[in-house]
Amino acid sequence: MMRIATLLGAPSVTLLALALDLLARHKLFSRSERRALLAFAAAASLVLYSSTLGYLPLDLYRAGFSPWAPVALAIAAIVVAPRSPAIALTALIAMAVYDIPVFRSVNLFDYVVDPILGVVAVGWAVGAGVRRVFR
Amino acid sequence: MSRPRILLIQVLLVGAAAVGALRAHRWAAPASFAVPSVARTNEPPLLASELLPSSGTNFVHAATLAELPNGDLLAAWYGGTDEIDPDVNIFVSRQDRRTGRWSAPRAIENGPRTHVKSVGNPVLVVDRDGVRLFYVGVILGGWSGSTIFVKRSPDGEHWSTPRRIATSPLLNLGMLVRSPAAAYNDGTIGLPIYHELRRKWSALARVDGQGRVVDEVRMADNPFIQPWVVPTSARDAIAFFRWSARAPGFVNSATTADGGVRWSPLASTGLEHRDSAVAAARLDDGSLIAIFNNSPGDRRKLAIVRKGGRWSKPFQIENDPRPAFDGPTRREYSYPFLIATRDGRYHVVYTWQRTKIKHVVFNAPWVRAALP
Repeated sequence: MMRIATLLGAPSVTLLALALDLLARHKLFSRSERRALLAFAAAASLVLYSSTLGYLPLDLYRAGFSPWAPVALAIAAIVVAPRSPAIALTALIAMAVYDIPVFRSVNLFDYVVDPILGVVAVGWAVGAGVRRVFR
Repeated sequence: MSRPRILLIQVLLVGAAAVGALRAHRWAAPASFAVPSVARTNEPPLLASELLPSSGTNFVHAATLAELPNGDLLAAWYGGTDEIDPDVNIFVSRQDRRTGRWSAPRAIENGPRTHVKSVGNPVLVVDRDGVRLFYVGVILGGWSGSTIFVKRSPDGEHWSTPRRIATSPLLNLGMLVRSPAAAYNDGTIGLPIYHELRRKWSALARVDGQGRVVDEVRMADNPFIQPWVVPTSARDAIAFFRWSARAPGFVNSATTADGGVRWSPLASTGLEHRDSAVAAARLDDGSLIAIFNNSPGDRRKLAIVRKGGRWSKPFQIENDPRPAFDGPTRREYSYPFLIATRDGRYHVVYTWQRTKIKHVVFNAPWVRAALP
């Protein structure tokens, strides 16, 4: 059990927000907001973890240490805020937790995505794709 | 949500981004290496060796060494029944500067081990805050399922509980250490790390005094691992890499001219080996020395070479003609860990037949005489 806890580490704010939304019977995010978050998480996870495993000729994780990372996330969140305030609020909480920083990491990616979220999001994306094909 | 609330979120986003960017900016500027001055010695040529006291284990491997502020040497290695066995511990032994005697090895990573399966590859780092021991903890399967931990000690005697350091976003798995850190003038260190989950790569992780990775720069891709960084000036350094493939290959090197922020493409050194660790250091005349297994088939030969213009002929520290595997005996002389001490001497510890740790000490006059 301890080893699993060591392995999994801390969940991202995005995963916690989606879990909270599930517990609140989807009252936090609208359907389209949930889909947007999962689609973002699926795309980010695929690129980030492929890069980490050495399958891409770029080191995306390093960008999470850059001073431009919180700026980029803030700009994206500010742009989506009028249409999806819940997503903007999730991004704000992720940045606040990163600013403190609550986890041992000072890499913004560790606050926005995590492998469990990646598995869930990619699973959702594959399922959505399959449903679309066979609809 | 009402417009004023949305506006408030947007304002807070700007503030949060500013705080985060300012903190990250602190680490974004290139740092300068704290290059240790290499003492000149007037000693006559010196080459001596000894076996360190046994840790009482069947198997030992991957020794590390550091000089403490009072001049004592602190060595650490891992040992147990075999690699990745649950009974493996990390042992430390201290050499008294005045008597030259090594203390009885003591296990320091032997608590109830529920968080990892096994441990290995200790790396000692001495800085102004005391001693840090970075090591690998295997969580799942073999070495590719490992992660990096750190323990602290004010004196090399009393050790804190381990903390995991975050070096990878993917469950922090597949990350290992093996080589000494390069100190930066701002108090951070450049810790060479490498990745073995699926594909191999090497990186330099900049770690602050609290054990947080504040930047991480890729240095080399598959199959180069175990980078060994030798700073040569405040901005310049050269790194040597282990060729980690089944077929024999060459030790490769890369250079940086901006404190490790960017690394040059790899270049072959022409030093042939096969999947074995390399160690290097700088001499007082600016030339480099490297220690590696100069046998493309196995690890029965361990050599030291010197690079002025080009690499010298090797001097064999070990050259065992007997079979590499002979019943339970493994004739392997590997994983050299090399440091220069303030008195102008060089110390190397390495795995001796996987049952002992050997310590060899030499000085620059000996290197110049033996490796002209």
